[in-house]
Amino acid sequence: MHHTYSLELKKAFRNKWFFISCLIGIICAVCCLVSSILRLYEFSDIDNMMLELGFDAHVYVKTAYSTWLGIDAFSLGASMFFFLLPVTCSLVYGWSYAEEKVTGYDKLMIARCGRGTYRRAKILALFLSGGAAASIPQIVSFVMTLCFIPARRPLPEGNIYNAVFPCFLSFLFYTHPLLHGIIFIAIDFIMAGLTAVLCMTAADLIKKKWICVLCPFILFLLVEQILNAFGIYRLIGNTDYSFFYIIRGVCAAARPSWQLLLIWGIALLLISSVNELLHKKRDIL
Amino acid sequence: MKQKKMYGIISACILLLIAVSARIVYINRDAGYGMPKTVYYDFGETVPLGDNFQIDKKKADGYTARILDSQFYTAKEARETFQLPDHKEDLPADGFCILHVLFTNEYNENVNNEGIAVFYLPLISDDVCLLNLDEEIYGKLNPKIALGQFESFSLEKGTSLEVWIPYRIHDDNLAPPFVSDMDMFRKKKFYMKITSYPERKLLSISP
Repeated sequence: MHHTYSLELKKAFRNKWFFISCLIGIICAVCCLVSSILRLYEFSDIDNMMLELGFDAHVYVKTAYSTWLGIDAFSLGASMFFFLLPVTCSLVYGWSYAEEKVTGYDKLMIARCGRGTYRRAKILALFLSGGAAASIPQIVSFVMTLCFIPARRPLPEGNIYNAVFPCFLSFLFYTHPLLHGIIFIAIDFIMAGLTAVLCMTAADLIKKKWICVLCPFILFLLVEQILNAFGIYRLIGNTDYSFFYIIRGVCAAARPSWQLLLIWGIALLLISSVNELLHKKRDIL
Repeated sequence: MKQKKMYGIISACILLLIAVSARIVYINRDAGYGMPKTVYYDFGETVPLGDNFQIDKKKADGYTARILDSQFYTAKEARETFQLPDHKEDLPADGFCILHVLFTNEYNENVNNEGIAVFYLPLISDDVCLLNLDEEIYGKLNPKIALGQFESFSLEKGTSLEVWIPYRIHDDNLAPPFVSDMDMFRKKKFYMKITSYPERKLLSISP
């Protein structure tokens, strides 16, 4: 049984798509860093101008905590990273189950270790590899940003466009910014992991492996469009329920809140759980 | 051969780690330099502005500030309380926080050049900053302050003035789902920042 788990984990983490996914994320992180550095130079000019005019620029504190990938509200790199996250986290290993079904490899594995163990091992590998594809670029981004921009503690009056009230854990951003970053990376790990697991459900319905990989992304876009089209997001609080925004630790277009994260987490978990239950039922019958 | 390759990779990783750590330490060696020292004051305390900047390099040494009261209003409550005209049916804010502050000039003699920059006294909490003041309500509440002195005013030496400062609360800052907007703000601990550098003086607006 352990052999099946370790085999699946090896297959998930030692394939070229894992590196490609991380590379896409790291490219976004580099774009974000370049734009942050350019923006700081731009603001430096403004700061100098303000000082010449007699203004005190100290309130506009430049800090690494507000310019790394997870918390950057402005850069194209950060927006691209979170928009593509459902694709990159599924790209790592979301194709494998569909492929193994087509080639018949799944039957071999089921004969060797049983359907339950095989599927559980697959789900674990999908969850961990998807989570890693979301968190590795963010960690790399944070370290890269620390190499160029000092990690000063943000002030509410100087960083009014980042994690502002009532964003989830916004108070931590100004009191313990490092902890705030770590918690959001962990949240993204879980959400991306659950998203990647959706590919398993898709593979039970669709044979084409690349369509399975794109399924979570298409689903999230559809949900966003439906919520926007019918104005459902305005019914309970004036906020956006889009998956692409709530996983960010910043009030970019929507305000992430623990309620929304919980709803999305439960919904993703429910889809996969129902699929597993149906599968079990089909096996018994 | 494989082992050699492994040693090579491990050595490269260790070198990279050392280089990155050294760079981070170098960049952050003076991360605390230039940061203001934050000092908190209790509600009702009389606090001298001292030799500190507000937002610009003009100081108001000799002035003191004391918070007398603070109230939160929804837009509807504000309309009723301050008897705003009908055309202000749609106030450009969802709520207001109105501060009642006593400013005193104890020894500043530079009346023409130094004073209180009302528009640069933000309300600050753990994770939010209210900057916008409502001009109409400000004018209505402070008839003693002459027109054209909206952004700042100065006092003669030895005189005091009670000022009502209305901060706008916008929808952008409000409403996570399932929670009442104003209740969230009313529960938060707010401070008025009277100076920003080198001492960042924060006065509690509620007991």
